[in-house]
Amino acid sequence: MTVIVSLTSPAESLAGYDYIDINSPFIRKIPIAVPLFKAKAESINDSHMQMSLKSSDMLSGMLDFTGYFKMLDRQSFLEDPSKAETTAADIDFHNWTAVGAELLVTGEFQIRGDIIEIELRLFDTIKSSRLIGKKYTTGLNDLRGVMRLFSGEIIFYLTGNRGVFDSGIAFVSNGTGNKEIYTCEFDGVNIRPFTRNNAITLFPSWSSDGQWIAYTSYLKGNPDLYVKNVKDGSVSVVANKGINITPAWVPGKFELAATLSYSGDQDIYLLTGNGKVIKKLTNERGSDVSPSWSPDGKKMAFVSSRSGTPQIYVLDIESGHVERLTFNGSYNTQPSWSPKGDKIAYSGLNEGKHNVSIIGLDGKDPVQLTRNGGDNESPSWSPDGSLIVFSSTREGPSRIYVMTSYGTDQRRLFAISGEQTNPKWSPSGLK
Amino acid sequence: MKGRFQISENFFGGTGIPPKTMVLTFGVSFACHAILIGALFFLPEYRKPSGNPFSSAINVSLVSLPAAPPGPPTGGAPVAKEAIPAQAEKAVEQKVSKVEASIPEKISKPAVKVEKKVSLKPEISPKKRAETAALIKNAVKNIEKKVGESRPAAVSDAIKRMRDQVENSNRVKGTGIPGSEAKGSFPIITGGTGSGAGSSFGVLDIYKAEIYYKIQQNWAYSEQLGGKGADYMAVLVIKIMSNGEISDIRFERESGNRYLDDSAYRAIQKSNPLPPVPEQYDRAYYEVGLRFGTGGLKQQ
Repeated sequence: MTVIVSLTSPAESLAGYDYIDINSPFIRKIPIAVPLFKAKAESINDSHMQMSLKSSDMLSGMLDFTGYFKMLDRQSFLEDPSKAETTAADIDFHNWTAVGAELLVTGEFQIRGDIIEIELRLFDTIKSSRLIGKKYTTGLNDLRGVMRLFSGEIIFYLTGNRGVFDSGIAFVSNGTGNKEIYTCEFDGVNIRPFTRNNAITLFPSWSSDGQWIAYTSYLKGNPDLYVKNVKDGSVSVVANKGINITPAWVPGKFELAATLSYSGDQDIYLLTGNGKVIKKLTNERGSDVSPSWSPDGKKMAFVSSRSGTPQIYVLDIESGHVERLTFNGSYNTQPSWSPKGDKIAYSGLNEGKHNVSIIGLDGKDPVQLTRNGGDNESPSWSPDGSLIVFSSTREGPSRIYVMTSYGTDQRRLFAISGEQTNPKWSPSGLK
Repeated sequence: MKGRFQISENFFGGTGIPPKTMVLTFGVSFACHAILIGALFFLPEYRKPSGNPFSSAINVSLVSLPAAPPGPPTGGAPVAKEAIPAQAEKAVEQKVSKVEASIPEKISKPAVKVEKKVSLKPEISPKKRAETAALIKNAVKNIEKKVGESRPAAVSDAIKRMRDQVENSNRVKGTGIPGSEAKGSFPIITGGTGSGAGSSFGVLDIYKAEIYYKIQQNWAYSEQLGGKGADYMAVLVIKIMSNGEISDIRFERESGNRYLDDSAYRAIQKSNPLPPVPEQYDRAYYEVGLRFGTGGLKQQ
């Protein structure tokens, strides 16, 4: 990459000095150091060392997941781990700026039986100041909960919102022989089956309070709509003649939109969470499917073949006015409205491959985020709008991937038996 | 029967085909084979599945070593516990070769001296680790000093180019500053006198290039955190003492994006001290404005 040195000073300051223009940063992520956490104990044994490594790696992993940070390699650290200082008064910040760190996390823990008490601190190494200091006490088997909380504190300090650490992902996998719905935590950990229908089950959709997942299942031989409570597992069913597919909960309400075909044409209807039809939302001839709501619930994006090929449209709920959003390409589906409200991610078919793109609400300048890697489809935004989960066949079988909203840091979350598709990111505040 | 085995005697002539054609045929055949085999070598690369940064809308450039490299790792630093040392040593050995390999890329000349002076082999004896750590720390400080004083290749080229430009422009325009018209195309120092100023122009421009290089290398800004869309620009003004120490940093203009402002301030702090101000500039301090903008990110 060539560095263009621009030394022209077209606008000379009255004070008589020149200007130097620096047009792009050299480092695109915040360099952060997370050294091994320290054990507070009279004699350090193996289990202390393991906890040292486990706890600091756990936090490191979560911070790395956000895509904001460059995690510095522990092997390059200058300080002596056995003498590691954890409080501002004792830390020599030059050790950290020397290896390029702008942020530093220190941790100190004490284990008492199955309880762990851990102090975590975030420092600004340039200003030599402490930004966050927290002390947590929890059972040894809930260390992850603590790390999620502290990660949330760090992201909150930097961005003003708590990030993705208390969210999860629902997806479809056919490892059992049938497509079933599974859930996992935001980083792919703790995968659990959500349905065990032994029948094709698809299209998971989280309610905005994270309490319900709606989905379609052929449990009774027909694609019916089910609404299942995440905590107690209670299920109710919306079984109309014909197909009942692609549910999408209305933000902030116990209502959802779904495609029903019982009236003959495939149209999108607004239903209560119990399955009662409130009103018909779309009315054109042709299939209308895959609704996705704007964060304020006033607009709904959806896919329609009314103009001949599947394209994405936006419906204004109050006025009923429908406007076409996508014009590039002949096959644009699976819209997902960003929680920030300004963009829609979708899957577009081009030269035989599906790829994830994002488009502004004015329909201008769609940006393709994935390329050259099989089919990349079914995008879904993280609740803070910083990441997108999607499915990809770039390795062969379809897997769940995550990337930043700029399309960088594309990585696979996990691989389990069968193929994984149709991921949907939950709202934050789960559990 | 015997006739068959006589072919070897007269390889080219025996078949009745003129030698020229034989050579031509073999040449073409060889070329085709070479192309085929070459293609076989290169094809697998294209088929490799790549979920890599190239498929993104924005290229995130890899973080390279900062201008002052972290130096040799202290994997040899004292770790009294049993479990970790073995791991650390292995990793250190790998890291050692990596660091040795990458340092030469960043610093052309001093690198040779540096490698000779610093012993990068990790000590095995636990008791010596403390001493080694101290040794390494000193060595790192020396490296940092040396790097600060040296000029990386990119800057040396820029300097040479500017020297040539200065010579050319002086030849054409004669001595002295032509006035405001020259500002657009070629950087000029304000407050500079015209008297035989050809060389002093170049020197400050070279210095500004050095400032640019060091600060830009230290500027860490995550567009994801800062927010895309608007082009933000923060303007900071710094005063540099003759020894290169930055004695004052202030905002001439805040960008409205607190994170960008912070990151610019940090970049300057990390770059302290800058290289010493050129002797020809004989004021108490050198004051210069720095315009940090995110506009360049779009082009990447």
